[in-house]
Amino acid sequence: MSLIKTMLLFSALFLGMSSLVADELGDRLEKIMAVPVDQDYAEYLAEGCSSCHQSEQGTGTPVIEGMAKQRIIISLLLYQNGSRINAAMKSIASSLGDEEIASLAEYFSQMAESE
Amino acid sequence: MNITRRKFAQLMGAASVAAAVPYSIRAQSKPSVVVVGGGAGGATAARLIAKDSDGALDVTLVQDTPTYTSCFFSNLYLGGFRDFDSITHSYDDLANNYGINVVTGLATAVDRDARTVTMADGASVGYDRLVIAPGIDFKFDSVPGYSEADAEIAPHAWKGGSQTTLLKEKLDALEDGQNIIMVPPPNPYRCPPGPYERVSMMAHLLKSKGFTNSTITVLDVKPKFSKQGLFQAGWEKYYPGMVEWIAPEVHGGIINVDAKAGTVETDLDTFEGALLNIIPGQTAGDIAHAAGLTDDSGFCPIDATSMRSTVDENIFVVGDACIAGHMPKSGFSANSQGKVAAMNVRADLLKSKVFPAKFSNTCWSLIATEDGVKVGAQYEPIDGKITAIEESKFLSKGDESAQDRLATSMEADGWYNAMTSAMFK
Repeated sequence: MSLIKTMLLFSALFLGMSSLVADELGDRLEKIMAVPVDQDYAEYLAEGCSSCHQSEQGTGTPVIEGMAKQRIIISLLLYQNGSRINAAMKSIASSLGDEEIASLAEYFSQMAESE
Repeated sequence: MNITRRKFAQLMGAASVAAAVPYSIRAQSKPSVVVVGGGAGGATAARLIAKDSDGALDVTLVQDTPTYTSCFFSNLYLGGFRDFDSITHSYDDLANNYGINVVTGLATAVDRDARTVTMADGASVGYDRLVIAPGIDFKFDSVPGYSEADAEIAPHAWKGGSQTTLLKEKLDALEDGQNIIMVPPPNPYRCPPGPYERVSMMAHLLKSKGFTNSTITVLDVKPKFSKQGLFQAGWEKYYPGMVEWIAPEVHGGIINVDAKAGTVETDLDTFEGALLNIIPGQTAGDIAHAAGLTDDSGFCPIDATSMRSTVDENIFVVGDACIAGHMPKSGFSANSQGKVAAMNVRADLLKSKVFPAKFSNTCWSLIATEDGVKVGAQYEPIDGKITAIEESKFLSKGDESAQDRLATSMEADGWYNAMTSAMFK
């Protein structure tokens, strides 16, 4: 088992998920990490996130620029399956497929925070 | 930013000359894009077209005011949660950071054959692609007795700027026991600002001054409204006895508004208020009509995959002026549509990639201090219409914790900062 998957398993168990669900999430994470990313597509999708996520830390919405790729992927997967709760983020995350999640995670992880 | 006519002519010169020559034989000149309207749709489109084309396109943004005051969050200004400066934004960064020609003036006509936009002062600017984002104008005669001149006495405050400050001044001048009458607009209307959030914010301001003998009567022309249960529960909780919402089947219809006398006559009764907030029916901004882009609904039909006008392939329409299927006429929607239009404008002129259109919207409303609610969805073009994805729809629940409501109100603040950055930075 990869380090990332092990970490996810621990976080998932902490959130009260069954080990089976956590294991499925781990498989999806590894799969999404390996999806090739089209930079132009990522940039287009990322504009959607930038309507709410600020470049500099303020109140309300977190800065996602510079966040680790696996952390963004895990967050989106947890919103999708309802383990993390925010109605707007669940709505958005549920409309994203693997390629889109991979694109966004790659794009924002490559950006320097407060660029 | 004010601009002299001479400077305007200099700015416009290259584009006007270029427009007189077919695009295909203009070997040396850059293709030009004109965006009319510098709000959530137009500013977003102009910024992205300029930013992502790296100087390969001439981008001109025409806006009738030197700065932009957002209608979204203007209710928070009325309620005392924000000052006017915090909802007013400069176009300087769009000019300085992306080389956008920002022109202050009113666009009055579009010659679609010659591909030129004419300004009120007679100057004209040519385009290869035009983005129309004028927001709304009003159908003043939709409210019996009300007129454009009456808006100086009984403000609608449904456009950001002088109307917003006028309503605020009148609100601040009220004394305890003086009443407000609101007539909300019929569908479809620009929202935010939400009429019912505005009621909440006006009630908050009155209550915070101890004016609990004042009332707000809402004489609605619609039998129901968005987030109705959440608002009515909030009014009961925070402003008991201060807000009365009267449905059209109860008051029987608006017969006459007398702005000078401060009265609204209905079948049920004649209501008197020291402050009337009358919000008329709405239609696409005048320039969209002048350009011949509207249909019988008064708004502009568009191709849902690109935001391209179905009337003219060189023109895109975004924001409140377009017919956006299931999307509400919100700033968030306009911003989302502006991104899709920008991608397609660049693809037309620079052969850049086009990806499937995706749209998003969330509308937040503040009911009281630290009590925010939201509604939203994701959208896709389906069978020619921008369509809400059923399972993506969400709405705040009535039994949420105070902590959740606080988080939602803070989320709205975060959105405002991010959104205005996506428009102006």
